[in-house]
Amino acid sequence: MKRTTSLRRDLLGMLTEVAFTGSLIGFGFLISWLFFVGR
Amino acid sequence: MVRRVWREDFRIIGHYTGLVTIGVGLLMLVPMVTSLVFREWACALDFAISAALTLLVGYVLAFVSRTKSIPGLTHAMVIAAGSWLVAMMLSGVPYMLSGHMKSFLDACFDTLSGYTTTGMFLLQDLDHISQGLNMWRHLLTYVGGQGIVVLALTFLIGSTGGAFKIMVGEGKEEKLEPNVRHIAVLIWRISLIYLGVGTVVLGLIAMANGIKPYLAFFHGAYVFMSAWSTGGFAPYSQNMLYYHSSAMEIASMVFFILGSFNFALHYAIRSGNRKEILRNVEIVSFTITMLTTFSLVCLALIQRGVYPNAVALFRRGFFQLVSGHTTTGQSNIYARTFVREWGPLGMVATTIAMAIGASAASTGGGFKGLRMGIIVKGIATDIRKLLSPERAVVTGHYHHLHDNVLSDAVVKSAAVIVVLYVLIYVVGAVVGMAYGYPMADAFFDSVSAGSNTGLSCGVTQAGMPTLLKIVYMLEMWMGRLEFLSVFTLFGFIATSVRSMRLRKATA
Amino acid sequence: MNRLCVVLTVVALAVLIVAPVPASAGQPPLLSTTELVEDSYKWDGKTVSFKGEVLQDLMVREDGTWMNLSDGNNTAMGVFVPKDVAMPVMSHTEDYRTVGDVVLITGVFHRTCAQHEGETDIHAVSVTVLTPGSTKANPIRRDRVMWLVVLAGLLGLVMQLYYRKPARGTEH
Repeated sequence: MKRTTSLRRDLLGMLTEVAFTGSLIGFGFLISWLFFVGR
Repeated sequence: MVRRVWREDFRIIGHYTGLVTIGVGLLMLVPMVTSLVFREWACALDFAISAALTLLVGYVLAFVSRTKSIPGLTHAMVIAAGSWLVAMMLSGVPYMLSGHMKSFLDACFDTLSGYTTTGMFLLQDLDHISQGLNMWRHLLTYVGGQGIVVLALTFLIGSTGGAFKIMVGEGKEEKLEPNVRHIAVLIWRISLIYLGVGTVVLGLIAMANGIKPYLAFFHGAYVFMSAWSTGGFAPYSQNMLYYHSSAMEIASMVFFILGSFNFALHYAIRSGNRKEILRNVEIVSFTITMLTTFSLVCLALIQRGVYPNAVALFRRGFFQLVSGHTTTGQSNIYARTFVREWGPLGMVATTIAMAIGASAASTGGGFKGLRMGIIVKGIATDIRKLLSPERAVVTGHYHHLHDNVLSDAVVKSAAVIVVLYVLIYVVGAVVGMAYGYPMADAFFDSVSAGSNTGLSCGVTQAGMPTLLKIVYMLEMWMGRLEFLSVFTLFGFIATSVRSMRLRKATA
Repeated sequence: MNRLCVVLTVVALAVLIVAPVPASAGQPPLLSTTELVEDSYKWDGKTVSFKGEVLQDLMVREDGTWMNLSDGNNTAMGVFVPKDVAMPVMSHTEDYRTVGDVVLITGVFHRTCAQHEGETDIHAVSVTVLTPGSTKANPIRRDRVMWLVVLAGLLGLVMQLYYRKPARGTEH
């Protein structure tokens, strides 16, 4: 039982982090697109 | 720490350094098995020899300095700094046996670069080395990222008090939980789970991109270990260009950004405090400086018309910049492209990103987002104080796991370390310029070494001046240990010499 | 000795790669990775020749195949062979145990390929195998086996001393 909650925590944590990082990367793409369009 | 040095001090340091060395020796069994799997018999033999030698040295050290004393803080710092040097030299043995190094100094450069998760290399003909040696290179950065000290802690030391002090010497000071064994296990748990997930994800991408299955997962493992540890090695000289795959690069980027986060943050998120990722001063600082330096890079690249479309600008510009800012060092452009195409502004913006670096208590380097955030907030608080009525009490705060007061002491200690980092960056650059390298190039590679990034614009190669190699090695070592350990080691040596002279005089 | 083997292999490869290719009129210039990257603006969009050893992974994609050709010490170039270009069968690709085929290609060099999102690559127009690969020796050296035996023996000795329970009850 403790194992599953532990693993669930790991998974949720990983998902949060990956989602955040993904949005950072998305912002990066937005900036490059804006710069390119604006040149 | 100005006291007499006794024989017992040497015993403690020797014993624990010996234990760490034994850990390194055991680690060499992994590439040995890898070589056996790929039927690289001669290489497997080389690793067997290296492992035997390293274990021998480790056991001899531990046996001769046998002691039951617990290390004090000073000992811990000396052990941390010293064991890196011992590990560096012994880990170079497989490199020497492979015949791919021009000198033992070069081998030490590469292993130090691996353990400090820098990623620069002087290895000759990387495209023709064995799987065993490639496994060793990448394993070095993965383990180095966790700290070879933590490795020894988890498997070899039973006691708690002494072990915690060793880890503090390593530069990972976050107080996660009171029990140090528990901390080490937690750090490993987070890293191993990501290792599993990362290897599978990257391996599948490699397979989808045309690499044969039995090789794809080794590529996955290598790239993951390089990314998570923010090391920057890759199995081939073209680095990430070898794969010709945006999926591979983006996945790797996700892992190296995550690897650059503070382990305390990983722990906080895992414990349910998910909001922390948006409030933490280091993450906020990183986001701001990353997007700012990236904007500068975009400006430079657009102005010079380097890339034909927005996607290319993003894929090359963003990857390099984030690789630099997280102090990873993976690259999907050629080294000389920085100089020949990106130009000075692009290089300087990347250099600034590298200089700032990643989060504290992570695998990354640089002077750290935490200090950046503290100093900026410190300046803002000072300005507020100036603008407020004299009797008003103004206190600054910063959020790192919980709200902290921005005291003068905190700002001062952050500033001192930043000054030290800038000092090594500048010294490395000046030495480079003294050898004739252009300013932007000299700064780029010097900051890359001092911040343990590993990106190069062409300065770092086997033919570079020996003094410059040594300067970069010192930068890598001091930068990774954040100075305190190194100063303690030098202080300890100085005090020992003085004590020995005193003893002789009174004898 | 092992280093000598490696040096000899690299020299052999270098000679194979640098050895003059019988030139015919109008043959595109033969360039190295270093030359292409240093003068990327000069060669951008031009047809060039490139010679190198095929590195381990040939990556077949939907619109063509990627191969990485190694032409020197830590220099290699990515070559994209579109589907409509004839691709010869490679007998060997680079490995610890094999020397890969040395291949000559002609194609268009791109400083920042628009099709491949800014990559520095060559799109091949023709691919020819110059020298088929072969297996490498990598012999096990007797003196190294001896070293292993000696070190392992010493290690066993020290480990025994280290783990031996103290004769009396207390350590110190």
